[in-house]
Amino acid sequence: MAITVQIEFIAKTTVRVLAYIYNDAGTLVNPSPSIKVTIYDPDGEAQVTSATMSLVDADIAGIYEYYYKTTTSSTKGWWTGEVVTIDGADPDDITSIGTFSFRIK
Amino acid sequence: MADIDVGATASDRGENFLYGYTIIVLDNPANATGKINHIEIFAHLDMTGVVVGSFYLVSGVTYKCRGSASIPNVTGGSKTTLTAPTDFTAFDIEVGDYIGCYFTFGNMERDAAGYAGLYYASGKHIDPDDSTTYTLSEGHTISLYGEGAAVAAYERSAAIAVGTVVSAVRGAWGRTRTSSTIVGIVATTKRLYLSFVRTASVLVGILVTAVAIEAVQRAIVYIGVYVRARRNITKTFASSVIVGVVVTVTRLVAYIVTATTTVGVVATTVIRQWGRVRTATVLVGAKVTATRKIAAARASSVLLGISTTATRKLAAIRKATVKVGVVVSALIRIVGRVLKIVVITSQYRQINPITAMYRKIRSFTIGGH
Repeated sequence: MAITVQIEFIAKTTVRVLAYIYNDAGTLVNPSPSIKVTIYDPDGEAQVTSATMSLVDADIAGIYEYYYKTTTSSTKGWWTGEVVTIDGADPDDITSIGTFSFRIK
Repeated sequence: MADIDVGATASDRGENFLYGYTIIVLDNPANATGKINHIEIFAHLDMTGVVVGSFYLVSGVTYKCRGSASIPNVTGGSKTTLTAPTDFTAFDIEVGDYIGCYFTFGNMERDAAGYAGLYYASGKHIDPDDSTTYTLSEGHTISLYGEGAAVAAYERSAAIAVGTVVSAVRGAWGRTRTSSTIVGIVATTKRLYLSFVRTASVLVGILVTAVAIEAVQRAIVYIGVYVRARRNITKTFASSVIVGVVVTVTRLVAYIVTATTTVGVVATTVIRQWGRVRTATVLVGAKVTATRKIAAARASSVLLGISTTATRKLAAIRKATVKVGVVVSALIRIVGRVLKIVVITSQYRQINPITAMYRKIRSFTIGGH
């Protein structure tokens, strides 16, 4: 089933954050050792801090998800977030960042 | 360029050395093992009854002649060059040996300062296996120089019950085989070129091998310490170490297989470049493998003990079985990738099966009217 991209949500719904991770060749890959997500409310306060994302399907590399359940008290407005991957071993590890945003009405 | 050179330049010098003495030139000892087939000599006055030979130190100031050959009479006042087999019969020399000579009449060019020195002894002591004590003339040298060709060295010791076996080969290539050493020490050191070493059995003792490029095969080391250190290309095979320690240190390319270690420690360090290490079985003890850069390591079975593997850069490591003990694997410096991240959001809709069924029934009912 196709995934419908949605950026506006009514409070109390659950926001599904989907991250697609590609290497230089455009192939979906699993970053190692970590992939984390952080979500900020409209006031810039982190409501989720460096939460580990899960593979959507263990047999498919490179697609991760995280569910964030909003409440009626969630601040209305534009929320922002970032997905941070770390790949490689110290000191040769490389950090990559992808950002996203959504609106709660 | 000759494989071997030995002695001092044959040139016109300020002094001369009288006949009737066996003289050993300490300058420029032989750099390899082989046969002397080219001699240069500078006589002050015509020399007759000339014999040139190679000498090695026995102990103290006692030297023994290893090989020698008579050469034609030498004309004084200029350098004479002689070549085997036309002018003389090539004679043996080994790395570290000195060149020397004896003549029954005449004298040859000599310098009295600035050189490594001369050993001399009255009379003729220049037939093979002749040995005597010599007197040192510090700083002196004579105009005697030799060149030669290195030859392959082949050594075999069938059985040594108790004692020490030391083999040292330098230059050219060597093949050494020691089939049995019951108690004692076997030490083998080689430099340069290829070598092939096989030690079939060392029951008790220490086995040390240090070689440049080589292929080594060892069948059994029952009790003791087994240490190998190598540079350049190496292929090592140790099929069985019953009790003791096996240590292997290798630079550059290496291929190492240790099939069985019953009790003890197997430590393998492959430094720089790439290595392939396989340890099939370690029954009791510790196994340590450290590799830089590319490595393929496989340890199929560690029954009891500790298995530790540390690798930098790329590595493929497989451990099939570890029954009891600790396994530690560390992969260091795995270079990370620059990743592109695309993030989307969607609404998570949890499907309630009862609600879904009600909607389907309602849709069917409305559709029926």
